[in-house]
Amino acid sequence: MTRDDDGGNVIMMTARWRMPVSARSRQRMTKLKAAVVMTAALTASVAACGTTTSTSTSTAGGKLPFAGQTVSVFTNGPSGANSAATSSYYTYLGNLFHAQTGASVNWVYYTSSSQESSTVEASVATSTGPDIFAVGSGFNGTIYGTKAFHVLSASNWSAVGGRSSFSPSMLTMAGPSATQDIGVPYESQPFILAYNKAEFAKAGIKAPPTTWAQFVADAQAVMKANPGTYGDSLDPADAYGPWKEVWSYALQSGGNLVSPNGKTSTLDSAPVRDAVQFYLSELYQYHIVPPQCLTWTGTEQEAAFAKGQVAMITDATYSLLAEVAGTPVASQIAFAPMPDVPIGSATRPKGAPAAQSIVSGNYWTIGNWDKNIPLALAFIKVGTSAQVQAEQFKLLGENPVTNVALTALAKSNPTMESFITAQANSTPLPFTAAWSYIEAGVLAVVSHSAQQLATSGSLSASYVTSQLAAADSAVQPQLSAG
Amino acid sequence: MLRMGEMLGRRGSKETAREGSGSGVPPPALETRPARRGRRPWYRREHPLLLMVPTLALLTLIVLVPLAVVILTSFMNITESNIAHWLAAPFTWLKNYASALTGPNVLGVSALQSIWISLAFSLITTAVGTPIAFLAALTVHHRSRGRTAIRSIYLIPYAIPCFVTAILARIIFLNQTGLLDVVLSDLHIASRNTYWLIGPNAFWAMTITDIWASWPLIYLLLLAGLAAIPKEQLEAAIIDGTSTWQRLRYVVIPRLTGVYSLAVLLSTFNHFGNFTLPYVMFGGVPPTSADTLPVNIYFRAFSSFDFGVASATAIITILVLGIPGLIYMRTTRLAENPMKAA
Repeated sequence: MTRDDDGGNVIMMTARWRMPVSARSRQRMTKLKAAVVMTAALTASVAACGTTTSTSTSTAGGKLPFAGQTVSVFTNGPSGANSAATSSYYTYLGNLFHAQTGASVNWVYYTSSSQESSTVEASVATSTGPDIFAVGSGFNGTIYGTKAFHVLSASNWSAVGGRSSFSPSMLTMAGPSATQDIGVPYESQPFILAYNKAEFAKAGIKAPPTTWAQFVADAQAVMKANPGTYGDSLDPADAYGPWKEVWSYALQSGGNLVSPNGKTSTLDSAPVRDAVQFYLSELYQYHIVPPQCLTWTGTEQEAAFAKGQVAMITDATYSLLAEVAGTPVASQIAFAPMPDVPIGSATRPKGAPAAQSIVSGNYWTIGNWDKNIPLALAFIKVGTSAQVQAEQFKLLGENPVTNVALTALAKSNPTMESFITAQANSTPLPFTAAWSYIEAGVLAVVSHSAQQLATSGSLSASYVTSQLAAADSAVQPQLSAG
Repeated sequence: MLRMGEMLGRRGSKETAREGSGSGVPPPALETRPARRGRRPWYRREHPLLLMVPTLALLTLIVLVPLAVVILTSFMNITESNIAHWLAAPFTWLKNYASALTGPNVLGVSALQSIWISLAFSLITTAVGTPIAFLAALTVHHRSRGRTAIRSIYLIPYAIPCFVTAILARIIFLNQTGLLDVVLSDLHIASRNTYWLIGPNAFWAMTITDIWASWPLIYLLLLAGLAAIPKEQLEAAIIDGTSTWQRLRYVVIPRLTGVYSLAVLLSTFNHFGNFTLPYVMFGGVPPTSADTLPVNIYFRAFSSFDFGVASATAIITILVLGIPGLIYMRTTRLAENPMKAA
């Protein structure tokens, strides 16, 4: 190469000095070696940048049924306070699976709900992807609607230990009916009320609230006895928090967010309006939550509880223990079922469920593109075995889902009674592909109402009603089409 | 008109001749290209084009094919119930575009509203960030003590990943306990109970954060532009007795026009497509005032699973972004060849 003397542009040189053959050969070899080294380094770095990790791939001998094979499992990656424990759980499960079957697990992690959704959708659209997907109970209806996941037959259930061996409440979200299940539950996360015993004791409160009226009264009493502490907090900026509280309160009031068949939206009904209003009235009417929580997510709620700034946290899970570990609150935390009687009433309306928690947990589902269903079922069988269920609780605090493991946990750990009761009494959501629209509709109403509250300092029933009517109009066409 | 290969060949021959008539010292072993008289084979003539084939193939695979799929799906009714067989989904033609522009997403915001939010966000951010970047570039253009350190400091906002910036901003803009509310209330400018992460103020919180995070991009481009200004021109201006302002006005700024246009274009694109900032900063549910076009598309696709409308919204985004792109190309073409304008 040389530089043109008049323009500064680089041009090709057509006459060049010829290097001796031996030197050129050496140079070529050097370049070749460098290219090989760089390619190897690049390949290694690209592999290291991926989000997959696999357990040992060495075969364990020919006698094992799936020796040398690999199953890929799409699940949430280790993160947050439970990161190390989650990694340990995956390692434990992978190693046990390898020991029992000779096969390996290729864990494919997602780190956000958006990544989860996009990967599921991309897999469905292309009919390729991981063999097994770990899916939350609220997402099961949606993925069932894609018709791209394996419907479990009776023999499939037998291969994982039999349908009857699982917690009946968890099975309600495994599929639309007993013969159309697509998911096998492997962990349960019932929602519960967490409270600070010390702050309650200082206020002279002996037992956690069982009605929402008591809840408000207790919160006010705690605030009075513990200056600077709030009774509760909200998380309107959380994509997954507020709708659960609205759903719970609406059901306890005798209403619902959608008709039982999932075809008609009831977002514009009076119980739903009351539920939205009660949720936000904790700020503008009862003043039992910090004003800044109008922009909080669940993470910020938990952080405030861990600092002792709020005395109660609704819809908490057992994983809150990991959040408060190492703080003074760790020794003061206690759990109880969520209140189940609407404010202004002594009892729930006739026929209204307690609805203290949705059926909450995770399920393993198998993509229709999976060519090795027996291997996937073998993995699920190991993952739901009593041994792994016990280890899962030990490491992650997630409730077991099999009857045997639940009985064992209740015997060995009496403090888990509240969680086990909450799991047994949890109420299933309508199993409809359109549930995501309902959830999004409530999300929009809460978000707009919170904005109204932040802007004007008040929230009228008429504003909430108009927002619910708008959400109802937006959601109904989707339900009708589904 | 000569083809590139022919141009290179002619220049090569000329240069060989020039080197051959040198000082008399014989050059090392030289390989001269023989003069070509007859018509060369096609693969010789089209050599540059052939070399571009791998790049064009990759571009087609990475850019054009996905774009074609998005265009196709923007005319189809694709939801979670038929995404597994999306090629068989029914065509709705322009209905998705109408739904996107007029119908609200799950957060109650239409694509048309989101376009205005994104436009205002991009233009304000660029308009405020550009002078900051220009002044910053001027401060470190000349050699001075500590220049390297200052240049490094200037790059800090740009070096911080967007999601970290969003989390930091969230902490700063929190109601009551956030740094901004504390400072403003201490200065008696605003109440400590001012909400920045919700309601109409959310737009300004997002805009201020993005200005802070993104001005170094323009700064870097302008700095490169400043370095490219020939020293002789500035020296000549000094000899002519110009003031600093006159040199800036008549030498520096005109020479920076091209770079400046590119910086503004890139910055606008960058802000317009910013999804991470509003999504992380507002905790996953952006308020209406911060429901930008990328956020709108996200909620269409991953909350409502309305892939057809999401694709239509994405195409609308491309069209909207194409306008400044076309303006840029038009102005740069005119700058290169003013005669074409006549």
